[in-house]
Amino acid sequence: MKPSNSPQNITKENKTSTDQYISHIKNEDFTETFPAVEKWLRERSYRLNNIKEERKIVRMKNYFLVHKMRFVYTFIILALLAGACSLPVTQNETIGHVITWTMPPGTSSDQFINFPWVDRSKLSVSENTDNGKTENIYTLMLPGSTDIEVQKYQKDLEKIHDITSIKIFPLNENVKRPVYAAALHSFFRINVNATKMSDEELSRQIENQLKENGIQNISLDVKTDIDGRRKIKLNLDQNDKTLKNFELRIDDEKNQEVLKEVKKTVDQDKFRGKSDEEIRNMVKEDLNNPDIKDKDIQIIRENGEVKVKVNVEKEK
Amino acid sequence: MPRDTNRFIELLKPNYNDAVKYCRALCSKRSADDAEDVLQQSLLQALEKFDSLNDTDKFRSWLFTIITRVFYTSIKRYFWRRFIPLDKGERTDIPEIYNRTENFDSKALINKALSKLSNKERSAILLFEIAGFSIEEIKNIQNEKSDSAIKSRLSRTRQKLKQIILEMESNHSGKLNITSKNIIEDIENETIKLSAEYNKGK
Repeated sequence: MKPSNSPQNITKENKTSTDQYISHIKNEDFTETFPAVEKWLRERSYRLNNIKEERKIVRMKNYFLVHKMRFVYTFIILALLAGACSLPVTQNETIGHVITWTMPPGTSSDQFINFPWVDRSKLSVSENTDNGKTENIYTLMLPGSTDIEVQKYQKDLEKIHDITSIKIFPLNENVKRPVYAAALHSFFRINVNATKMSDEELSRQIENQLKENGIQNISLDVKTDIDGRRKIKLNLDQNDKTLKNFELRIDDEKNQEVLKEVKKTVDQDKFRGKSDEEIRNMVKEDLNNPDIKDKDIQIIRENGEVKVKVNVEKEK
Repeated sequence: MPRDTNRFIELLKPNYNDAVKYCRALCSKRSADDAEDVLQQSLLQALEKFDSLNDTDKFRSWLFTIITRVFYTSIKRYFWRRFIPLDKGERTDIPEIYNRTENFDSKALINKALSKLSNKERSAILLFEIAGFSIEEIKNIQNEKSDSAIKSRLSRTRQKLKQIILEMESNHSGKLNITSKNIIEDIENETIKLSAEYNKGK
């Protein structure tokens, strides 16, 4: 049988010189020093009770004095950060729209004048003759209108047969904002609570919220597989000028999925002369996602230009 | 709330001797001053935290846990003091406890042998041998997860300590032999000189 290696057995079996040496320490006696230590402990206890509060303040003071340079550096760094964030940057912002439409002279304006969004005070009419053809040009200023609203108005006007053309012009303005405000302005967050929501409802909810934030060209597909896992497929048109950076947060019972979309502007020249394989590798590296399937990276070559579309599927 | 110093001292008294021995042997690599420094810090910490000890039956293991942790902290402080001139902190004002005179007896030999062990090994063997703690208690004091870790540490340490002591003993006896041989030679020389002088005088 293998002998046990436990310390007890070793102690019993090997009464060696080691035990004799250890017994020298065991046999030491310091009890006679206890009264002096007891006296010292009582003194220290008295001091501890009386100066505890005072000691806290002194310690704090000493800490600040000893680490004053650290505090100075921290303050300078924070001041620099605050300064950098407050630097103004110029942003081009749409502050409204102008809609113009044309109608032949003599047609009734009653067809559009009763639209709730038409403000008569901001509507102007002018007559224009082009190649002998006379037309009434209606111009309506819509300050503070969003892209979605204007598109809705356009649809209203399209229903009127007498209107020959409709044009929409955005009213842009250069706005100066601090860096932090600019970053927040170009980023938005969408929160959706998908608990007990059907796939259709969730899809509609996400789509509506994205549209409310000005993202128009969306292709969204929500499906629940046999394991009960929801698959959300979101395709965005990278050429869409309305596309902004956003974060989509979906709560689904106990799970939470966060999908971050960051608009990336890619220099088209960097794909020029590259093979499909090289472009796919560049995209995977750029998106820091080596798991993207090759079929999800579409490479379109048109007139010497290379367009790349990436479909990223997120599973819940 | 005033600290119950009387109760603390009452509980400390039966454990004092072992605590002092443990502290000195733990600091076997260092001076008596350093051992007293560790003891002072441990007793003050224990006194300050005494109100938080709910079960006074566990006072002994609680006190030895504090000593062990203060010792580990002091090791780190010694390490950094070699590079940065740190403030030494509170001056040791505990009454003198340990003997400062160097001796070359068996006690010195075991202290030297203990100093060759790692801090954890030294702490484990002393808690087992000097303070008489069980494997379970040592596991808690040393903040380990399994009994087997402590068992194997103790077993390994005993073997190591035995080996170190054997080596030291053989070196020590070698030194003694050389010394005795030299003395005998000196005596012989002196005897020859004296007998020569004696014969001259005659």
